[in-house]
Amino acid sequence: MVFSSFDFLLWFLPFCTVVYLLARKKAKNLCLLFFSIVFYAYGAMEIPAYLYLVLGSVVVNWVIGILIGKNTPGKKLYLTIGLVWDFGCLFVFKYLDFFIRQFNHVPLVHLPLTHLVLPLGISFFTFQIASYLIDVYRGDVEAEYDLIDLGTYILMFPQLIAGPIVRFSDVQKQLHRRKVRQKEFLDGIQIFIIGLGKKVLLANRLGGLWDDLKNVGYDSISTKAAWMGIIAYSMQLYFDFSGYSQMAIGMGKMFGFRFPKNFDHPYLSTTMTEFWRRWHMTLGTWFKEYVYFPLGGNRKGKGRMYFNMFVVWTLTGFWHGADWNFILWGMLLFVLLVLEKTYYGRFLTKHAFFGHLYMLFWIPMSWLLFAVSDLKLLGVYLSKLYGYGEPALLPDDYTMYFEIYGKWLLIGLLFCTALPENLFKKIRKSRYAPVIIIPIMGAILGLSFYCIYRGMNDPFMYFRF
Amino acid sequence: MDKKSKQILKSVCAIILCIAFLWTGKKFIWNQEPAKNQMQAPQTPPIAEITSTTVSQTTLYSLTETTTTTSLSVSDVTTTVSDAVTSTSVLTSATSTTVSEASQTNAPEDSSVSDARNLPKTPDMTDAPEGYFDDALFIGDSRMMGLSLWGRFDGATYFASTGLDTYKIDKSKSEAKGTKGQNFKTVLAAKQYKKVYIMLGINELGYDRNRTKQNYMDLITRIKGACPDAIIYIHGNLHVSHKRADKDSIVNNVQINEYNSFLASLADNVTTYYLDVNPLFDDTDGYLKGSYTNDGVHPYSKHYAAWKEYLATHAVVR
Repeated sequence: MVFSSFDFLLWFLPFCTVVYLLARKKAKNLCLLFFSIVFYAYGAMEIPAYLYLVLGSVVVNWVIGILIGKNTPGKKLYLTIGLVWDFGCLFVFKYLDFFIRQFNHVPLVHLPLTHLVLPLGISFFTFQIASYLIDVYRGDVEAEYDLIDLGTYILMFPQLIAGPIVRFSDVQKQLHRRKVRQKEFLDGIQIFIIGLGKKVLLANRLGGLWDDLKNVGYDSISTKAAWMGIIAYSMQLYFDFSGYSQMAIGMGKMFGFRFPKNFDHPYLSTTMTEFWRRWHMTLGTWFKEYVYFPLGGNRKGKGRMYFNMFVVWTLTGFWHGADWNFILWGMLLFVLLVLEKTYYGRFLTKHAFFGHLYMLFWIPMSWLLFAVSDLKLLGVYLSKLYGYGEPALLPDDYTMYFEIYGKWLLIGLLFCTALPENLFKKIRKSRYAPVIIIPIMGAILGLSFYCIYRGMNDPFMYFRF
Repeated sequence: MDKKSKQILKSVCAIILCIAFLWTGKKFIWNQEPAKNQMQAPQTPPIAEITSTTVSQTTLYSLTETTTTTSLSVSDVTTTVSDAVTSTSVLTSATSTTVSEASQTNAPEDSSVSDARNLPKTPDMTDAPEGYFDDALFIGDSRMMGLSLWGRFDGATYFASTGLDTYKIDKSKSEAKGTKGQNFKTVLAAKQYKKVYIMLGINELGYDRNRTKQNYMDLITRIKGACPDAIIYIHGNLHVSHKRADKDSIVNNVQINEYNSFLASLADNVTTYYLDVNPLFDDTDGYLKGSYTNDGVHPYSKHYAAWKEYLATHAVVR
């Protein structure tokens, strides 16, 4: 059940919210957990075993958390068991087939593929559980004895399938004591609606162009169309992901939680280093806290720092998907970050103009590696971008695409900047706030509903021919 | 009892409850095996429902719906398929043999353009002379849109839009170059067309089949009324890829073939001809080649050249 579906918007969320608000204080977590399980069960309808897997995983981590929290000499062993279990699940479901395929390149080796479907949200909740166990091990947080509270933390449906990756320490207090205030509830609704608008009205529109190019075949498009496509994809990715995060944060707020911010206008960055402090911030924090710092960060000499960065970015790439292009993508980021750190990072920060120019090139280029998993097709696309591929079937095809998607590209560009948000903040402070905000929210919601109704909500599932 | 023990006790109770809950849930909900390979869609979904299914047609599509449809429809399919076999015209049976021949050679992609010339034709079909398509009208859905872009005959008129079908042909506006924004009535009245090429059907596979067929015949009557001298070329609908067909109970090749054989039966080889370009794009099993498409429905743009070549070599000249 994606957030931008009628099942969710018209049935699940309203029903859940009403029950949640009516529930007694002590039953609120139970209520959230119940609805989260229903949410997951709905998603795992085809493979019920995944629901048992996830629930079982919660129980395993609950037990191990308690064992670690007892602070006995064996706690290192418990932590190891816990992490092996959590990352083992992630490995089996997400990466096993990838490794089998690599092994099968060795002569005479022929292992069958498992063809396992990825359990919903496993990349996200594995990281959340791992952060909990490690934090308990380090003594940063106390072990959670109440399974319902822990389950609520791990399975809470707003952040279950697409983040933000909430650390236990971020929400521990709120898990035990929180108040749903009217103002925050209403703020939460607004944030949710804005996120929904980003996803449905911007990301899905822009995604159409990328889909079109895929269906047309990269080898037939013109250079200009290729650039338009990758720019549209970059925007789609941003609005899609940040919109989803925002919906999660908004719902969290409605339920009295404060989830950490996940995006901070990343496309305004002047260096890749800055970009990754502003893009998917909770993931960056996770890698910093649980990989980079434990490896020694930058305190063990330059060589060691580069090595640590290498590890972090390979893993970051691999986390995004089990394929070579994601590893390549991680490598590219690593190289750029090292270059910035050693050579020109400071220059770009000082001279923002060059910084933006630099990022204007590297943002779409890096997302290209992310977008095209087939390395051969990637080569085709690159050749198109730099104009040395086969000639385009229709040399002026970009005018056709611009006619359809031009307005969305321009609107998207505007929403990549901080202008709309700053304006919105100003309006909220003004005296006329409700008079302006309510119609705006109504319009976003209405348009989003209309688009979803027209079946235009999900570019990957459209089926009009 | 201290607080922690209490919490643990509570948690264990929760686990037991949860297991009990899931166990009963499993019994009632999940015991019904999700039906795979459904052959036929519900016969009469109201038109509005089709548009709204596009919304909920996610991978997590509700179980109940799929289970009910299969039990209904298996018998329907067997009858329609046998109908299809008997009503297939000479032309289509001829094509089906060439399908296997063409794809067994495992020819490189570009050769499909030259293959196009060799696909079966009726005795009166020859190469189109210059200007043949200047008074031709092309009507169709997104695949016809593709032809209008990447296999375009300059001079021809195209009425095409994504999602077009015979039900909404009068409500739709053309998206094709030259007629953009015009409705069907205007385009049809704009000229005395001498040839009319149609490819429609894939978007209405989920509707009541008899009504759809009637609509199609009405459309042809209407075109004949507006352009009495026109030769009408009915395209069989393009197949979908294996991957695409497997996950769809409506848009799959069983459905497409059933409908295509009806379309073939409309041909009288005097004023109305049936054209099947599927052999250009199909693999040995009759699916749209996986390497020819991204979404399983639309061939890559470079492949439309073969279709164009087919039309240019399969023309009835009067």
